[in-house]
Amino acid sequence: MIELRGLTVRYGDTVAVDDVSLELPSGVVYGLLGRNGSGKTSLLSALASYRKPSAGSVRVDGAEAFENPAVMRATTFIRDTVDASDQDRIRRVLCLAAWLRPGWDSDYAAKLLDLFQLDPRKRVSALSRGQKSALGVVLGLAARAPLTILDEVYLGMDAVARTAFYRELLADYLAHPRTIVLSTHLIEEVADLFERVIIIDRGRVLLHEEADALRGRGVTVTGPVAAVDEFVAGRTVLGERSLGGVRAATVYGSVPPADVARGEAAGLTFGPVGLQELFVHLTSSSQHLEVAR
Amino acid sequence: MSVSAALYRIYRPVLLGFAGVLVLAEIVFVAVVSAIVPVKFSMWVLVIGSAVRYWLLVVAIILVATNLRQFVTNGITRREFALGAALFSAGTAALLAALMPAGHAVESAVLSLTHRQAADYPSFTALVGLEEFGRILPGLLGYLVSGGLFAAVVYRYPPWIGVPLLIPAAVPLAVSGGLLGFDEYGIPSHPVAYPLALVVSVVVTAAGVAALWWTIRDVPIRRLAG
Repeated sequence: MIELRGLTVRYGDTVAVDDVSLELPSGVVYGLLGRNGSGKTSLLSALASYRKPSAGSVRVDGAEAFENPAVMRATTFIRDTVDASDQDRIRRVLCLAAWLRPGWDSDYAAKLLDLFQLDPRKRVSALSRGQKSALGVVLGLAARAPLTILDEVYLGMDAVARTAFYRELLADYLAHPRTIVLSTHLIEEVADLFERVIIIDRGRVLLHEEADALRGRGVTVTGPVAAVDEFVAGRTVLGERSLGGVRAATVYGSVPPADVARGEAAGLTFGPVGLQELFVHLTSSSQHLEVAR
Repeated sequence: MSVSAALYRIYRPVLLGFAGVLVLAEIVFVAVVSAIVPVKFSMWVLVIGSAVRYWLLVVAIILVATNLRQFVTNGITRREFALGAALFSAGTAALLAALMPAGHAVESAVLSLTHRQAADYPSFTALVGLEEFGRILPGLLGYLVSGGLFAAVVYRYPPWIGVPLLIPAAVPLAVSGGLLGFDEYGIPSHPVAYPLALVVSVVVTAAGVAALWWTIRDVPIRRLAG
């Protein structure tokens, strides 16, 4: 169990993380979502002991995390930039991880290098942006740390590499269950991986709940334009798309079963809402803070 | 693997290469100079001694500026890294300090056997070797601490704080180098009595160690650009 209590991270007068309290059970894949500058990386830096909290605490299994050897050893935090010297070859970077990481799996690291077509003889400085990200993924997954934190590690990776990453992440999580915190802006791409979702906005936690429950906060209504317009009248509409005479509208809030039955009788179909649409809705304006809570 | 063992494995090829260059430079220099005139100063003590100091200064800068981040991001605490780096760098300094009298002994013996030793050459004796070790080791430690401090203040603080702090960071280097240096013939200089020089150098270096730990004990591990 990871417990954040009144966690605050300040940079001078700027408050990046503002009095955040969270309880995160172990063995879950968390999606950490937030707009640029919302405090995601600062929160994760404090969680990984890369930065001492300005106030509050991070406890892992009851122990204070900062400068705690056992907690540090059980945590890996991969950022959008690889924490390796540019002059080092990939082989050297992996060697250091193998020397210091108790759970390091060299065979799995070699397999991931093959998957992402990384030459271990290459220097970090010679890698493209996407290849550096792929190296970060190798370091993050092969460490097999009980707490694995991945902060926008996909930057620069092409669609094929990202798909391979998501597939490996899921497969390795199933084979070696652990706590994974995944921070991303590509919400729709990875939404299916999330078991729980944390949305942070302006340094504060806007929402923390099961991904399925979050999806239940809205409904996508599809059908003839007139029928859809009539159904959504008076409801909070997050977005609409029309094609010919058919319209799909995303409605925020639960829809009573009676309303669904009446809509279906009018030729409407109902489906789950996308996390990205909900995220955009919840973070696009501060007026929605109260709605989220 | 411990931090000091990992650092030793990282730096072993660099250390061996550096030592090889030093030995080669010594051989070439002594061969050339002694072929022209009898040698009246110890090349090993004078030139090599300086090279070792500046090499360790650079190593200390890299330890804080690069290795600290690499180790913390691989699950090592700052305290573990500081202790391991201190063990590694002090051990390396002791090894290099021991090489000073050893190299001087070989140089002195070779010049004596080949009759290329000038009358004012600082001939090696056990007492001379002991004094050289006793001077070079605290000197190297001062350079190490200053190197670490240079990197730490620049890494931790914004430029308008970090750059002015480079001046006090240089104090261990300046004190140990000034009080425990060698003159242009490779003979120990004595601006003050050795015991006093040693005590002052050790105290200043210890203060530098404390300042270094204070600076990095909770330093944020910032990400690289790009």
